[in-house]
Amino acid sequence: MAVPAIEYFLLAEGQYTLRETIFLEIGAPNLASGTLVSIVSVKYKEYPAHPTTPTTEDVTAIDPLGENVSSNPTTPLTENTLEVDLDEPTELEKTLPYQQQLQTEQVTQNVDLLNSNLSSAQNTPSLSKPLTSNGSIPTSIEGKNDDMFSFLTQNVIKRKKTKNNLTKTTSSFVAKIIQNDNLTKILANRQNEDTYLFFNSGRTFCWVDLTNKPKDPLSKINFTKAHPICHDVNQLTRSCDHLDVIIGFSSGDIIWFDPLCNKYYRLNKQGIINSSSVTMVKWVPGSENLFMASYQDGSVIIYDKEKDDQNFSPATTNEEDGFRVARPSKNGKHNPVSYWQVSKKAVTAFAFSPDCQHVATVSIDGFLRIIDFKQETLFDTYSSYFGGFSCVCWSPDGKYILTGGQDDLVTIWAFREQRIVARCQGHQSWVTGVSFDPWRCDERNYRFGSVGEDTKLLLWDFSVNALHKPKSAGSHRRASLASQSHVTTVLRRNLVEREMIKNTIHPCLPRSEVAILQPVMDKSIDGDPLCSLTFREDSIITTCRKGHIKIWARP
Amino acid sequence: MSVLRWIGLVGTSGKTPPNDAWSASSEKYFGFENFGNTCYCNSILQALYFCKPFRECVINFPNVSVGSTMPSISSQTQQSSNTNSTFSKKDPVNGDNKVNGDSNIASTQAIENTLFGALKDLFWKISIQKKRTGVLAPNNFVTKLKKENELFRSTMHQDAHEFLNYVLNAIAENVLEQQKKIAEAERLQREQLSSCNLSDKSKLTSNSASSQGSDDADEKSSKSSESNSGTSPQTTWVHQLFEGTLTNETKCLTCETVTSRDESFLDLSIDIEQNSSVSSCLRQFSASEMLCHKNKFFCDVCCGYQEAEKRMKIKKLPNVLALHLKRFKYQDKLQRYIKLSYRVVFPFELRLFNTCDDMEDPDRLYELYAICVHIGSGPYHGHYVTLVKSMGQWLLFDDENVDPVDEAEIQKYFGDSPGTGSGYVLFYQACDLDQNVNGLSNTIWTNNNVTSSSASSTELEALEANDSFVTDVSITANGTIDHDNNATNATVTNNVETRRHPMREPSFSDRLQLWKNSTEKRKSNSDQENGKEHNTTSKKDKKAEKEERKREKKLEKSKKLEKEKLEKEKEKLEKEKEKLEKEKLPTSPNEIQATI
Repeated sequence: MAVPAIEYFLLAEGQYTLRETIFLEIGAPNLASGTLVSIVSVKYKEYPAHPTTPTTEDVTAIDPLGENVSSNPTTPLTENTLEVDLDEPTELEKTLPYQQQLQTEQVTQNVDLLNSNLSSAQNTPSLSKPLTSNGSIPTSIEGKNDDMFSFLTQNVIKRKKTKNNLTKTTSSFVAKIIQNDNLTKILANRQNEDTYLFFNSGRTFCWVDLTNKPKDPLSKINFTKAHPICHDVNQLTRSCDHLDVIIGFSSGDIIWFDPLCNKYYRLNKQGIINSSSVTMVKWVPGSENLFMASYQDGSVIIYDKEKDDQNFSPATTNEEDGFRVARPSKNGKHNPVSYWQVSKKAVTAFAFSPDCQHVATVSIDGFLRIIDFKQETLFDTYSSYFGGFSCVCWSPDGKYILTGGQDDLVTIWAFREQRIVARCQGHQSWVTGVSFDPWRCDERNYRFGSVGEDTKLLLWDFSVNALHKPKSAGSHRRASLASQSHVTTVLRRNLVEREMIKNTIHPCLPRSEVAILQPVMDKSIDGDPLCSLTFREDSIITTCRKGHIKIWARP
Repeated sequence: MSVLRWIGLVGTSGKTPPNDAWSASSEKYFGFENFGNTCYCNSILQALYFCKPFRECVINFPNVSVGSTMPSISSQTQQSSNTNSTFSKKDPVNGDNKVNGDSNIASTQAIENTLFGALKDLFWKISIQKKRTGVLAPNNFVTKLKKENELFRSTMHQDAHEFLNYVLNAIAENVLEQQKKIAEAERLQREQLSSCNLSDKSKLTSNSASSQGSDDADEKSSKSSESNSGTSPQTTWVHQLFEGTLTNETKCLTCETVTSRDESFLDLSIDIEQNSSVSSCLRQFSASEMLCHKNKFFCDVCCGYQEAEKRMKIKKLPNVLALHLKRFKYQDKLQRYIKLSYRVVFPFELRLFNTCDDMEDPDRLYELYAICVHIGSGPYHGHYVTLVKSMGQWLLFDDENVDPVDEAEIQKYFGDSPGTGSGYVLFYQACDLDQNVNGLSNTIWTNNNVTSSSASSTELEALEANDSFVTDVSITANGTIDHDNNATNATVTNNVETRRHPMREPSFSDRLQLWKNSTEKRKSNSDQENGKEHNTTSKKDKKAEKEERKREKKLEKSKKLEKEKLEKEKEKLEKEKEKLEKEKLPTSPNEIQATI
């Protein structure tokens, strides 16, 4: 279908213009999952830190010389309450997880004591070991404490694992790597700040320099047996000589890859832990080694990049389809670190809350599940209007969650209030990507965007006060739905404390009872169904199934 | 034969093994032989066969032999018509009332000659197969089809949607005819009854039998029993399953008068767009349209052609929603139809956005259970296959081949990959249909059942036997009510636990089983022998109950008018319960009267 190429779109704040289209000519794009991007910015000189950038991506890079790190362990200790307050993100965000990990080890302790706990845990990790029976990320993290904090002071040198050199590999999994002829030269000539973009297309994984010559890839890796599906760059460990990239494959394999050293290591080799397709991988925010992967079979697995695989088969219980956690490795020396059976059908996406306390997972069975990451328990379950969910994200302040899916709707959920806020109607097909625009969000008003199979980019402005409820609910007629909501209210009333509410299941509310939001911008921006959308400080990046990556410059 | 491949192997080979419910089920999966371009027929037949309520209705529909003297005995309705012949012969053969599947073999002349008869025969053949998989040749059906409709007579490639539409209408027509015959038989029987009994009592009998108050409206009452819902005279279970109502709202822009016109549909044909979803196409289907220029609207109020705004909304959602995606479009330039290989995504679950605001359950949830796929580049050639979800497992029916398919594979059929084909007719089934099927079955058979029981009761001579009968009816009534309660409870629990009927298939089949049990119960209750058995167990209680009943009798008479109204409102579950109570209770005293 020849769709006229859209070059710009207009909004109240001005015109967004297409700055760049990156497209890698390859034989067969993987239409089932499409192209996704991971972006990382690396700095080479100390910049004046811009303190209000809310995404982790733009946090000042860890300086390889260790100049920047001293502040990290000391700053966050005031931020320890369960009440999420994220008006001051960035640095704090990054370091928060450390204490939270510690905090869960000390679940029984008061928050007031955390300060001392932290120090004790830091100094003598063995102290906290007996307490892990409370659940949470197990022994492995404990063992990591040492590692992590030593990293912060001693830097990156302490790598345990020997990795395989990618150029000299004999693996049948990797077909070949094509590096830019001038790669060493380019890397040597880097100045102040570079932004790298990684993307997958077909069986190729590609690395480009977004700031300078995005059309000229720095390297391309072709894989033989499986499609790379998803990837993520560790924002914590990035540096000018080292990047931790993980790539999830359709075969279930995961590759930990360092493009700068040109080394890689393969995890879940030949699906020894899980052989279904990886649907999403993400580094656990603030962790150097841990990452999370969701699978087509409905499981979510936490891996440690430094650990070896161990043959693992989760106990199969057919009668129970609830949330289950398995921690297979007793001594914490092997992967998987933790194994969650979340859903019976594919988990399509997940997202960490900004404070890293919770993980929101969405799956093809049409449920949004919010999991307490530290306790590893199911906190909330919401149902789609109909059909499966395909994407999820948190608002920068952690108050709201967005989902998109097969009901053609973007749905806004209030996390703390535990309710549906609004359904956003405007897409003409399934919604494939949602994201908040943190640069256009404040305490009251939120800007977010969504992309869908309808090739459209939609932008929305949302503020709770401006939402108008639909005409009064004629709920008396909707017997089935009404009775459901009644049951839930009873359930909720009985449970006094929030902590006690384990997995409240929220029914699907009828159309007449949920507010509807209309988009502020609605434009078809590509000829093919879109896959993802990423907001950057200076641009919006969209990708499509065929592999077009479009960068839209902000006004 | 590829069907054999997955009998044992599937469990180990697939990444996601077929679920247990599927492997353990007693469902039969039979491919159909292709007689030269009959894939359009095969694919639609599979989709219809795996619409469980439809299948049940087809198989269980009585083989009535009106005009034939042979007393055939397949189900309650039949009994009722048979009692006519039995009665006239003065030969009460109660043993014949024992119902079994064998009677289906001797499908009688009246049905066999129709397309419906051929379909019934085919469905029944599948259901009695001992093996789980195999191949059947639907030659009778195809022969009949070609005989009935010249459109399908050629060996050319045909349109599957056209066939679906034809077959549904033909079946509905056959069934309607059949129901008329049954009603006619009932009417005759009642006439005979009235000639045998005192006129006053016969009135009561006929009234209770048809649940219609007025005596002179014999025809009306027969209609009510044939139409089940009692509203439209042209209704059959085919309509109850597939029929929905569209309302066509036209707003005159001059006087702002809104004229609305309702029309019913058995399937919806919707225009499609590139890179859209089925929900979006449906929304587009209901988008408002301006009637202007040459296409102005004649407004009765303004008495002239005016500009108007037209909208089509769904007023009544069908139980089974057959969605036809208009992939074949006439191209003026080329002077022929071309196929639109648009990507149209369809979810496994669906709610419709284009419903009227004031309807009963605008958020009704549907589940995709079959996809009829067209493979090929044009409407004049190509191939049809059908994907069916049975017991939680997707299967691909390609003529004689049946293969399990991973759910993730379904996205191949969204339409933009030329080789694999594109979804053409989608079959969505309402998730609450299992509840309604109870209602459906009740409405289909209850009336007739009541008639039959009252008729057979007239044959009873001994008071004792009569006794037992009365009690049994009350037991049945209770049983039915219990059953309904169960259904409600089950639904509520499901809702609480997962809200989406995760066990949809099993629970559905469970309820079907319940439903069958309850109907069978009723059958057996109308059976005299059975009644005696019960009688021996608790005779005293029954006698007491009988006394009470006689006292209640007078009350019932006064309630008759109310009953009539209730009879017409059968849609809600609660009302249905009430209805059942009231329908059952009055029959017994009346029967007593008839026999005294």
